Amino acid sequence: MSRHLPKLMQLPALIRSARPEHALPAGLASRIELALERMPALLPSADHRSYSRRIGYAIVGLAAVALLTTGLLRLPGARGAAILISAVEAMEDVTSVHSWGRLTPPFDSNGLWLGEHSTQEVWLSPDGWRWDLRDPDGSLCISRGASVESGSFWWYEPEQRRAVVFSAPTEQLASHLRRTIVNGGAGHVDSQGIREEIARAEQISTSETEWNGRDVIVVSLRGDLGLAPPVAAFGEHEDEFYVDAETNLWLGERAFVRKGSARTLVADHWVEYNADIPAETFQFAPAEGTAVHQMEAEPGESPCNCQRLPWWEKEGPPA
Amino acid sequence: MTHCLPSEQAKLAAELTAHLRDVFAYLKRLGLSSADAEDLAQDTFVIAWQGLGKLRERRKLRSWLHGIAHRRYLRHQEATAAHRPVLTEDVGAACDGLTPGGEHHVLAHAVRQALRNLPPEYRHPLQLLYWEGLSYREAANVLSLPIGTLAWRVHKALKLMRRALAEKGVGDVQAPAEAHAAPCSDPLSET
Repeated sequence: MSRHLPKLMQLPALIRSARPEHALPAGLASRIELALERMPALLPSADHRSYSRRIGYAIVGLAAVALLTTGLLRLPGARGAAILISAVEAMEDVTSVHSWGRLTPPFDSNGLWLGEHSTQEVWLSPDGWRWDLRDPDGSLCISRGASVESGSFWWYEPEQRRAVVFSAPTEQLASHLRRTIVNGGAGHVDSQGIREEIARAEQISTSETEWNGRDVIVVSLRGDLGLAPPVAAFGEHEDEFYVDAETNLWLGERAFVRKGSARTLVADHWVEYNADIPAETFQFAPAEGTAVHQMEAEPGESPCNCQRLPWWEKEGPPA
Repeated sequence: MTHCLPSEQAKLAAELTAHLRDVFAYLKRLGLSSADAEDLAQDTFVIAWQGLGKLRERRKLRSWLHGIAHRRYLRHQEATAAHRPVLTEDVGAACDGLTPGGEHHVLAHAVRQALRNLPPEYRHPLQLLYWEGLSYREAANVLSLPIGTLAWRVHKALKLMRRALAEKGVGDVQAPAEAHAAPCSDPLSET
């Protein structure tokens, strides 16, 4: 090689010739395709290509922000948006919050894919009013009719030390997150308080929250929330019951279970459980006045069948 | 997998993912580990998928993806700055398909090292133009720069490269024939 300066015009070719190559790792393509497949509903429509429409949205958005900041929108009906914004503001300060989003229907025919829960997938129903649990083949397994309007759906992933929360933007949850920040500082999540607030949110009716029922906060809280992994899981599909005996945590399908052991459950309200599980497997100790309802699968149907019936089509809790 | 999507969306997904290898290789050539490059590639395609409606000219898809990947890379760099070990490895030196010890290998190594030592504002334009094959206009879009600024930075970067190469004893040489490096797998990846 010569010691003379290389000519500038030679350098592009030199750089090109030194380009390292990298093969695509096996599995990456399918991983990404899977990720895309799971969010088809988020594909923007052609309408979004309209600049004038976008400019219109921007103007309306700016006006809304201005009005909100001056307090002019503190009117009935606008509260949901204010709550949402409050919650988001609160969440953005919690370093362990993984993600959040505002989801607006209509979605595709299955609804909107939100995440995975155990062996099933969580969807927001097409009309945005229900949490649906679906088998990987897309079939509906559980549809929780009133859950979206009354509260949240969430679970804890002990291996990843992560809780995933799909929650209505209730004021209680928002204010709690705010308090958490104030009291615990960023990075510290008061898990017990959040659990309590979420449990309380389950009891709040739509009229009390003045929430339109169609906006959802999706939060994934990372970190050790201090939750014990479920000590009892019923049924072939574990979603039917998750019972955390240590924390009284409501985790399952239509069951609020107070402190108990893995095989002793104390039900406060009413309980359904899979008919395929031998009753003697668990020792039920219902609280006084609690109705225990054993659902029955149709002959020839899978163990999940009892859950395939939307619960609002049933007669409701036994008296 | 995309056969589960409606046909129109599957077509769009296929069109999008046809650029996956380019995007992944670009992220690797920016100096990311295989794991980080995979994660950022996934982020890139998810973001692109969600924002596909914003792309008015489909022919700009490739450079648009590079732009998203580049911004994800910058955010990643910011987020990990405090924990990132100092790079001691040549940018993308894991594989070049060249015979170790050969003259071209030595030259390529020197060029990559000189490139790596450039500040990012000079390194990235060269990478986009000469490694990723983007046009000046496309590279300017990726870097969110006016095209004049980009051209000036390229000129400055080449001058810095020339000085660095001269210091390494790489003088007035003819560039080898068109790069003929064969794709290979990254030894650090799980493949």
